[in-house]
Amino acid sequence: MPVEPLQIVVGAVLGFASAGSLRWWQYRRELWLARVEQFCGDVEAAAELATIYWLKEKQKQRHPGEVDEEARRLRQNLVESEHRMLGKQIKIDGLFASFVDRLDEADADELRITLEGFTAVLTSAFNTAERPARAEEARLAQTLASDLIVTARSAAYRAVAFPGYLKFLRQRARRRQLAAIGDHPSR
Amino acid sequence: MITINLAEDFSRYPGGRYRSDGPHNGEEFREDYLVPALRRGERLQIVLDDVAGLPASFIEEAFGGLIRAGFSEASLRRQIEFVAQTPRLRRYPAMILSYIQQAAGLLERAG
Repeated sequence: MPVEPLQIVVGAVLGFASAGSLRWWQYRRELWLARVEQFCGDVEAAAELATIYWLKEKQKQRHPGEVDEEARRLRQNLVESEHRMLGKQIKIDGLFASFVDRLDEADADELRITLEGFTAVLTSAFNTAERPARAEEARLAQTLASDLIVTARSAAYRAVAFPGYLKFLRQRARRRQLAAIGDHPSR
Repeated sequence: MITINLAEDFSRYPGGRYRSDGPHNGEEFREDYLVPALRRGERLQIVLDDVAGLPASFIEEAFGGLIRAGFSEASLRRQIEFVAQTPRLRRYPAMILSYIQQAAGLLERAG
């Protein structure tokens, strides 16, 4: 049976469109997963900073003429760490916001609660002039970071699996419905 | 209702707990901005957008400190609302309410 040129063209266009759409979807998925991995990397780096920071005692300068070079250097390092930790917190916030909407609601809520604890460990009591070493904060920095990383990765892998994607579409449709009737903020 | 834009009216870089920690600290925000308005019975809308970051120390002292200053959790929930359109700041309203709740719980256990 002779094939019409038009059929060939339509077939080629449809094939190109479906292959292209699939490739585009895969590309977007990889970008999204890369953001999750970047988040995990920054959480780990922030935890390392926080552990070193909290295990050092912070002492204020005793008097203007103090010439203890080591104490001065330590104070300077701690102040530098405070700024770095705050910068990490802001970056982690931004990365979290860039991927959380795509997660299952239960996973997103669990991550938010753990992230709240981690933020507190990062920036709860620095900027004070003097404080003892705090082993508890150092421990929490490591344990909460590990929890965040494991939860974020497993939530992300669930989200990109086909059943997870269908669940996300259903939850998004429900949120939009609720937002339309004014019952729930739309994400 | 009074609107307080944290970034414009206070600082884009809030940080620290106490006045002794440096400028734009939680104690300053609480005592100079929040407490006077709340004592007058005003309703507050606090806009968090455009702030570079919100350290936990600042949040706890500014808002958890309201409980220690004598306000009840119920009255704070009634009188204060938060606006955070920026995606990276959207989790902060719930975090602030959580600190208020924790401060109220601690006060109840101590009292």
